[in-house]
Amino acid sequence: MKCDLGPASRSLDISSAAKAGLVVIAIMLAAGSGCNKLSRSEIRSETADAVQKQTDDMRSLREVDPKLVKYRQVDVIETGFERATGIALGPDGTLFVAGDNAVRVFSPDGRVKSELQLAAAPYCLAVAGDGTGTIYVGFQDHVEVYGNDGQLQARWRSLAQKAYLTCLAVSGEDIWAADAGNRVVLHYSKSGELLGKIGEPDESSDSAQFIVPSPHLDILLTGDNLLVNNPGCQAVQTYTTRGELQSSWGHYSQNIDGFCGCCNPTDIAVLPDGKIVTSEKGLPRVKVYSPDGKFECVVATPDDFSAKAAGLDLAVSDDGRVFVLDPPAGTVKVFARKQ
Amino acid sequence: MLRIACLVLLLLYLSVAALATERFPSPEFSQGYQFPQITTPQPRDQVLSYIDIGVLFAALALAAYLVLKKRSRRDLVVLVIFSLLYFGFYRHGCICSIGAIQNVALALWNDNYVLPVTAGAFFLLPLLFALFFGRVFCAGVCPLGMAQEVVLLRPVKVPLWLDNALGTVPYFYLGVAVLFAATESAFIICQYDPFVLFFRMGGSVGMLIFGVAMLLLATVVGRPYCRYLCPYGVLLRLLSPFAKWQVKISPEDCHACHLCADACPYGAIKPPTPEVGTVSRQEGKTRLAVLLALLPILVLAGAGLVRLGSPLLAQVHPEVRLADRLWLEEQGRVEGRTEATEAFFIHGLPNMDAYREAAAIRKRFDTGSWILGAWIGLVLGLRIICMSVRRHSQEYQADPAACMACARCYALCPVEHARVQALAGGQTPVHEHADASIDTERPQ
Amino acid sequence: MSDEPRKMTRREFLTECVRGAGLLTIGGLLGGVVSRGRAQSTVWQIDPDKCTQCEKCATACVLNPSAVKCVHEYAICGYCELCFGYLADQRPDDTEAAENQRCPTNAIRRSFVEDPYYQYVIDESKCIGCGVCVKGCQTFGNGSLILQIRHDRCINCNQCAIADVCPSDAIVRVPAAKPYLLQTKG
Repeated sequence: MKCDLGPASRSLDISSAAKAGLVVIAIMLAAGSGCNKLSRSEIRSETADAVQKQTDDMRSLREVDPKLVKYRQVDVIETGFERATGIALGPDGTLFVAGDNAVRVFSPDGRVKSELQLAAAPYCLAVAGDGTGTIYVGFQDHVEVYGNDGQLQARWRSLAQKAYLTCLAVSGEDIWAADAGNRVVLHYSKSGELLGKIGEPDESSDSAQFIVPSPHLDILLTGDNLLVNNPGCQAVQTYTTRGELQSSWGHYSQNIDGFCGCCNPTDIAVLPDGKIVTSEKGLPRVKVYSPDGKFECVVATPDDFSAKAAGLDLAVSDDGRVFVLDPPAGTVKVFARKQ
Repeated sequence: MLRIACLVLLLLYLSVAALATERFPSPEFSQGYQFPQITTPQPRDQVLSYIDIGVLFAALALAAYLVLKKRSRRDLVVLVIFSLLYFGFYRHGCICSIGAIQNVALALWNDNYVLPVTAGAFFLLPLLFALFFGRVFCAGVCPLGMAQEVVLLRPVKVPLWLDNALGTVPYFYLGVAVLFAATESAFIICQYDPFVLFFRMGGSVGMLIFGVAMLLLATVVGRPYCRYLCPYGVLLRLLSPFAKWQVKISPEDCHACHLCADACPYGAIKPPTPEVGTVSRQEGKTRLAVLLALLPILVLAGAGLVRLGSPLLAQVHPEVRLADRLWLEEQGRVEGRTEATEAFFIHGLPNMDAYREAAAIRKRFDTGSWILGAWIGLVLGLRIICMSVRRHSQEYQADPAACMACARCYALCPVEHARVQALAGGQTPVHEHADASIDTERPQ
Repeated sequence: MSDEPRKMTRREFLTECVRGAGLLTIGGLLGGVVSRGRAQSTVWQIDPDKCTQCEKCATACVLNPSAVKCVHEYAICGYCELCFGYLADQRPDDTEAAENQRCPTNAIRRSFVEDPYYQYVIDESKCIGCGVCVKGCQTFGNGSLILQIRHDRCINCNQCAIADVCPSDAIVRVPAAKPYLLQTKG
């Protein structure tokens, strides 16, 4: 019996020794991976603090002192668009909204009056103030003109390859268009003839230069001058119609008095008393500045808009109400000054 | 979480391509600025995953040869270490046959997920081998089994009652894992794999504790994960009794010396049964009839009970949790947002979308929980029947369902000893001597 | 005892039958898998449209540091001087000092291109995939910084550990032949 069990038990001894070794290796592996885990948690706790600080900073930036908010929301118009792009107000208080592949017309009480079907997605629009009700619709690279009956009257020539129209403005016989893709403002006659360009790259350093990192370039006509936002400079600038820089104001700040982020304001509008309304992205907020650039008050805070709101388009009615389009939500919110 | 969106992604590519054309142009640089190249390191080559399948096949074939033909534990250990290094440390334990159950379940119940060839092969090849050679996959290929195999130090016998009780866990685990995979809720086998974090050298603290505990347990209890948790073991256990070639401990007549049964760390060797049972044949028949009648009752009871728990099970799905939370927030019953509802809010979708999706998922859980409950009832019922049916045997036999084909028992069988010595020395076996000496030891 | 051999035969016959059936099933499934061989394997990737930069990518990955890194899509970048992927919101001044930077590991390098444009490059060896810069860029800028799983690091777990904790379901399986979800051609 001994003879038979001998080899088996001896081999058991050898294998137990080997196994003991393997167990030690396994425990070492376990410990090794534990250390690895611990060292990771150390690095991670350090970076996590830094990460947390950044996040907290971002949250606190969204808060606005309620005392500065001098406007209140008086109306919301659901446009029904998946993605709206621009708004304009007609002389009689009619609201025109461009979005998806159409322009929808709302009466002052918020009901849809009519709809204009388009072949492509509109990027911006403007309505003539001369009572003819002519609608100018900007597409990516061209402008189309529609009568108030919805009939296509003209299709202007396509622009250069990189064209990306973001704004149209009508002033008497002149039409102005902002091409954010080429970083220029175009001057058209009513018949679609290109009269001039502002902001083209030039050898001379004093010519206009628009810094437009994202598609937000807006123009506004005030008397004889042209008001343009220059988002890369965090500025609102006044030009003559020939493109000479008259004045510039605005400064970068994450605080309420400045323009936040890399490229703001995104949109501008003028109140009946000449004050300027601006909109920003990143921290979606709408504010009022005096004509010389002094911060006055807040119209709307980030909490008034959807989480991904960017490119809030502005329009101001004759009685001073501010219409703000929230493009991803497809809603137009109307704000009036508090009594 | 397991949003399988190959089709959706195809659409996404198209829409991205469309977006790319009308993307806002970059600034005009005057000095001919060149955009830096975006590097896109490619994933592991597809060919390498075919090589993995080849290695799996070769390892299975080699394990079958070493266990059944060469009957050599020593050579098998070499394969064990190779498998541990290749499938474990080199391939980081992914993909493994155990986890592949979930990929198969997902593919069976979701048309938009196409089973990758690797996952399919890893799931099927070991089963195929089990039909011919028993659990050779467990013997020398499975990296999880190998991790436990190499730390086994001094196995203790698990009492039969405990073994039987714990042995039902894998069946439940399999059922639950298939339910969660089929409903796209979670891959729990992968999430609660105790050893994969050693292969990857990283994981959560909780899993590290679980893994180390399992390894420590594995030093005294043979392969605790394989025997009392592994859901893939269930499939192998069901197929291997039908294997064409099974582990045969004694090459010739068994002398019933019980040395092999003592050596088996997995309690897989069943002793011979006495000729006469403790109960009469009539009594046994009656008992079987009662148990057979009990089976459908157990199945129905299981189905009903688990169906009652369906809302709880559905909570595992993140979409269901999200919808519930959104509802509470909408009703004003909770304050603040969770990360998931915050993310949902950022995307600006209506809450109704989430509710609708959650309702559809709950419906799938309702159906699935019926089936899971019936499965649990069936397993319990059959288990009781199996325990009460005695199989006649006159020798020590490896239970093919439980045998891991580790080849430990061969070396201890005196008959095998004689055969090996005869092979080595070319002498006639000392058969009689062994026989006589062992006979005195045979328990009565 | 005399009926023992017959009993065994019946048993063996049944075994053969079961094995045959099992073989057919497995063979059929195997054939099905092989015939769908073109349905190639998948890898994990972050869908930038769904990502909310919750910072879990940095900590949930089984790898350390994470297989997720920030990727800069230069063609979308505005080359801003005041880059909010690069600069912290609350900072002493606008210089390139570490305390002014948003990135907790200073993994973004800024270089001057021409007035007024600056180029930003991610140092992947320093990036931990927390997505803080991505959040800044997505919020204020053009969204040219995105988080992506880098496949030279990812070990392609059968179940991605980040996907388990992602609050916005942004980690998806994509075909291995198209392993990145960039908005530009890479």
